[in-house]
Amino acid sequence: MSDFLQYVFSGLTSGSIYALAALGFTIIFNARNVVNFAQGSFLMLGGMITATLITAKVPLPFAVAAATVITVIIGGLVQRLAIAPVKDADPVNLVIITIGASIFIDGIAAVVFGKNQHMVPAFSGDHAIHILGATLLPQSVWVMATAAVLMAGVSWYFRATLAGKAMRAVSINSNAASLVGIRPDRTVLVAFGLSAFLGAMAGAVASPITTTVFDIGLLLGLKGFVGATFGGLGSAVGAVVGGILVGLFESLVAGYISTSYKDAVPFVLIIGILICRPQGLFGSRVLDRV
Amino acid sequence: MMRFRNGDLLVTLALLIALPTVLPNAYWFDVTIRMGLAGIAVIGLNILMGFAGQLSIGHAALLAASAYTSAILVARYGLPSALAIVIATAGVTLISYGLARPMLRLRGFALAIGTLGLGIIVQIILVNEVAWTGGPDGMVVAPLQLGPWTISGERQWYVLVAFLLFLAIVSSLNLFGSPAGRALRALNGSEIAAQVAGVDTSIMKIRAFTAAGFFAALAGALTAHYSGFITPDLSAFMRSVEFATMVVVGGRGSTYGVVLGAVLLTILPQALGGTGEYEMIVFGLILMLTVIFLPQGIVPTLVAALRGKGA
Amino acid sequence: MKGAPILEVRNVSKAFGGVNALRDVSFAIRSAGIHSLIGPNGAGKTTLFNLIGGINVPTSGSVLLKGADVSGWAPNKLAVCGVSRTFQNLQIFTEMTAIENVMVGAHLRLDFRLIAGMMKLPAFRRRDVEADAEARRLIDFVGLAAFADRVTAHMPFGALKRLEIARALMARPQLLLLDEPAAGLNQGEKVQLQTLIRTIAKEGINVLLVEHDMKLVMNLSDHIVVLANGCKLAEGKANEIRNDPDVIAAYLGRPVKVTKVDA
Repeated sequence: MSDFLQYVFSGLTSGSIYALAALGFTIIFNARNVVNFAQGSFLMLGGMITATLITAKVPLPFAVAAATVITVIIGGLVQRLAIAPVKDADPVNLVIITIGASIFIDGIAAVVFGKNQHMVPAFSGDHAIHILGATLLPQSVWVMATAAVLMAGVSWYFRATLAGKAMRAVSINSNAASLVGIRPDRTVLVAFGLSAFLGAMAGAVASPITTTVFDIGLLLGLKGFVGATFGGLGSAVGAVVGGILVGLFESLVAGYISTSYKDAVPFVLIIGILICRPQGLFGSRVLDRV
Repeated sequence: MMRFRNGDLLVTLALLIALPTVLPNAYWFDVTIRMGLAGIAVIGLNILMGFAGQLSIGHAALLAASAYTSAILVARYGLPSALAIVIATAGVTLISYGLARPMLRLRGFALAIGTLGLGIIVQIILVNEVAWTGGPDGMVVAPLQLGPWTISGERQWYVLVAFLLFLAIVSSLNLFGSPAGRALRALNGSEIAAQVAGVDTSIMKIRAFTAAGFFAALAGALTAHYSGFITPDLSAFMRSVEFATMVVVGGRGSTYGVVLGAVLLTILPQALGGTGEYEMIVFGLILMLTVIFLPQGIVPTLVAALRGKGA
Repeated sequence: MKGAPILEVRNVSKAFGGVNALRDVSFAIRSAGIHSLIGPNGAGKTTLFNLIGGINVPTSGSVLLKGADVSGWAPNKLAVCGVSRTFQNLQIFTEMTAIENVMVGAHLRLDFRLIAGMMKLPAFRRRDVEADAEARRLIDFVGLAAFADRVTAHMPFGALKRLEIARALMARPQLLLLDEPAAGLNQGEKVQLQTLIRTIAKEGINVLLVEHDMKLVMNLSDHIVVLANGCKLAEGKANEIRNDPDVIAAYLGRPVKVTKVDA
């Protein structure tokens, strides 16, 4: 039982990270119908910049803040320089561009920060908390709490602010939205910024417990995408639930079956889900052919 | 475009025959052979990505699977290498066929992720099953033997690879102008109109995926015996990205285009000193710039420009 | 099945979520010739057309071809039964030349195996040459000979509409569905279109078109079906429909009670 709980804690922790990444994917997908491969790079930057600044003796809150701001700027640049110029709607082209952006950013990170792993000290110490025979690291609590706060914030943003509603409008019908004065281009920029913000925060808060290295973004981002698709691409709630489920599955498989195949789990999952229920858990049923 | 068909094939053949005379040393032969192997692989990827418009960023997985299969068949089961290559190629082609149906239920981004996942799964298997594959340290591969002869040395390998590349080019050009090729290109242009014309788009996509698998498998098995040593890195995401970049830069749909892409982008990592991060920066930049400024790729853009000026 | 209508739509309804696009529509095409489907905007013509063409699946009711139930069949299966169509807003294969576009129409008649395509043996080559010749004849027939080997991306709209007809004809259909063929054409082009459609019908191909241009419809049609608000309002010959008070009312916006029952 305590084993099971242990895996659940671990799964919820990584699941929270994936959920934030998944949410980032969904926000951008809703704004511009493109899957942003560079999402993982945002997570990586959040962690790497935080790590570098902390090593340079910058106090933690400033390090995280700076990392977030820098990543948001980079997110905006990606949208402005790589996405906006591509006018045609061919989804394949957009995916290729974001793949390019992702490896470009990762490559630059490798040059700037080096290819070694960076160590980040836990925010409030490593004194493990014992619950029912399982241990929970304080950092895990940080991760889950941050994720919860951010998700609540995003939810409020979409429901209560004009900017958030504007974004929802663009996702439903961008032509109609522009007719009422909303500027889709600006909205997409904000979407990228917001996703970068979520990614950076997730990366920063997770950096003490994940491998903080230049190419971690790919795997993390992909697992986030799996979560987003699991829940039905386009549904924010689905993305969060999907991300958490991916984390849980992965952890349980690693615990009970095999640790070395842990990373394969999300991908086997996605292939399975998309075959059995292509619209994901929360997507709407596809009725007709085209 | 296909008017001057036989002319351009003759030129290609002449080029392939003449090339060894100008290559100065073994290093350049090696680079050229690797270009040829990449060319075979991307001709296959072009059928899936260029003709049918289905994005795959897991092409390297099939190549790696075939490489390791052939290597293992020789190392563990003592099969003659030529037979091993045939079995590996056939086997991975069949696996591609089996994977195609579930994979191609995914569309657009989801397919990209699915194929990427395939690459990651294969890489994980290759790293973990140390008893079979030698794990992350890689495994040694026996040289290629055709009957009593061992194919050794850069000239012999060049002849083999150039010959197979030429066959691949001919097949691809033939396919382009054939009913199957038109059907694939049609489903890329408008899936619904293709269906209305009678094209069973699901089956055609599966066949394209299988064809891509075949070429990847062939290239993979050959790579294994040529290199003499393989590592799980063969299945890495960056390898698949390289192939996809070759197709995008050279020109999706254009046989000569993707071969040109293979030529240009094989030299590039060598020129960059093979250190991962610079390659990532350059490839990333190339991908973005090509899609934004040269979305058709090099060869189709040139052809269109020439056509615009002329007829 | 002998004696069965060429096309029969039987009690077809289609709902999209909460919206009833079609309610219990029935009609049949029994004789050769040109048949039209008309109705004011929102009547459900496109929905019905898409149902017949296999793009949507009826919520209830059936579509029959020569007596065989083909409800819900995919467009490529319908193509085997001789159904072909054009698209109102064009679905051209833009990366291919005009002749290649038309040749896709011959797909079912040719060998579309990949390996056969790669090897291109002499027998195979011969059939391709024949198909090429037939495609050129059709391109000529619709008046696009000058464009034959040009990539379609920059061809004018009117030309592309005719190209789609050539592509549809290449499939040697028994039932040709034309989706608003006159939409976007100027007066001269419409006159050419009328001649074209008449010639096609004379070749023995059954034509069903959806159209808004009343003059064209009245000039061409042997038989007209009128839809309004998702129901069939009237059916009959051109002059019957032209003078039908309910039809006139529907177009002018006066509310109409659908009292007609199937004949």
